[in-house]
Amino acid sequence: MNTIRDRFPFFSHNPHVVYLDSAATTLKADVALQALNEYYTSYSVNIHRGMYPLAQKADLAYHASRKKIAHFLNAQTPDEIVFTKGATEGLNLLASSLGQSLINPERGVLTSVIEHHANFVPWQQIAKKHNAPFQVALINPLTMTVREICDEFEKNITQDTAILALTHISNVTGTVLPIQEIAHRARQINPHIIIVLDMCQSVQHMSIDVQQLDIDFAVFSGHKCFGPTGIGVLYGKKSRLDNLLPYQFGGDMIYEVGLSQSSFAEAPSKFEAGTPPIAQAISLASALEFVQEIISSDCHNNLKDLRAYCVKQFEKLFPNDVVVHQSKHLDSCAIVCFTVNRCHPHDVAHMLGEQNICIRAGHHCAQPLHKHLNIPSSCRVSLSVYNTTDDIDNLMQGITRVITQLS
Amino acid sequence: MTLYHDTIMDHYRNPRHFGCSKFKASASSSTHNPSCGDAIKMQIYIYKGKITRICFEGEGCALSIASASLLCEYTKGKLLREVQSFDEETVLHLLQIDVTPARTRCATIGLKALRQAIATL
Repeated sequence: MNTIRDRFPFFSHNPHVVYLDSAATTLKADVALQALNEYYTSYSVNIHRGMYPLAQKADLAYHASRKKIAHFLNAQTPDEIVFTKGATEGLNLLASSLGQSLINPERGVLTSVIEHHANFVPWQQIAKKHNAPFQVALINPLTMTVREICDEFEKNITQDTAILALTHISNVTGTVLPIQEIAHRARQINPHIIIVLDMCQSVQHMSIDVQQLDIDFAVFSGHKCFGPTGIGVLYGKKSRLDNLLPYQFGGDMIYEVGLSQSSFAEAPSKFEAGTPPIAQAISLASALEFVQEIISSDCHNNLKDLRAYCVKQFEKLFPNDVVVHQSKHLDSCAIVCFTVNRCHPHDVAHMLGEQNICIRAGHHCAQPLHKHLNIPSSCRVSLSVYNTTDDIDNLMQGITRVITQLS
Repeated sequence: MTLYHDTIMDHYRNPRHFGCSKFKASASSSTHNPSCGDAIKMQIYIYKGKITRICFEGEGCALSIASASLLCEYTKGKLLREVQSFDEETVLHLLQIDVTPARTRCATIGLKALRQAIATL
């Protein structure tokens, strides 16, 4: 019988690997690899001004991908989808372009202490550049209730908060933030606030409806949702993208170029200077069709059960040695953050690695959060649809060996 | 080959020259690795151009503690000018392992502390 694992060619090359690092990057789905391979082997020509049939085929496939991704996010139009190199580029684009037009010494940016550095440092630096206020909501993803989290954001929002940048799911603890509630309360205080959402950890796990979430911009990376590296998506409400200044200049983003002046194309083209990641865009659309397929199946519920099993096994087998850092009140999605008493996270991850068990250790690009929680660094298990209870059992056996070796 | 071979585990469990002195050192330093919170403090005592005493203390992973311990053992009794030429290769040779980029900071935190201390002279 075919299982979801069979959809990932990685496992035929690495049958004994226990892969528990999907928050860093997911494995690649067969359909995404096929789309990539098909473009590179049978119609690998450039898009836009090619008048020959193969160029038209590539052009159509590239634009069809934009349409499919718009549909996946429930965007109003494909023009609201900008292809980027990844979520980090999308956030830098926003920080740079919104920073130029919206922030100043009176009007600043609010973000949260749980953000990935990619949704923290660009805002911190652009605020510094424009001498603008940079505020950080000190939310605790482990102890706070929905209400307390909303209150913490609300406390920091004023008429002068130009931008609110926040994550959908913590990449460290897996805590799912109540985005709709936060957005609603933010707009009650300041109807003009621009809300930017980092969806890197949510896209592979849940149906996303950008209109329902009521956000202005959102970003995610292709490689975190079964697709290729080198591509990401920036979603922006059409009216917002129209008012946004271009970030990079060059071919394909212009309307007309003169010796002393140039005018620019409409969104999304004005944000896609140069030859875009054509193969990756086509592959990403296939990856998201796969996500759609698994979200509508039982896999999503199975993943919830698998996460609960992982936490339960930690509590049952290592009640005195392992501390799981998870939210007491909010949903946690696919991530189990933990520390092992008297064992350094780097040693735990390295020793598990020597047993073919792949987890991640360190600050997970979230140093402010680790400082806020007073944990120098942590271990992170992140699950995806291809994981099974066998993987968790192997992890537990691995942890037993680590504790024996290090104690 | 495992990174956690007997020598590394021995120096991790029983680090040599561990514990700083209350007596004023010729040079000292404190360094940390922001990627994991590891922190090491090191003191060196110099007499007639030679490192006569060296000690360190701090918290870290097995690799960072073992590498600082091995480095202190290797440094003691050497001329300052010899120690000034120590580099990453010196440490890796002492550890008898190849270190991946992800663990280089762990393996070299002791070297960083030693260099910082010498730089204050």
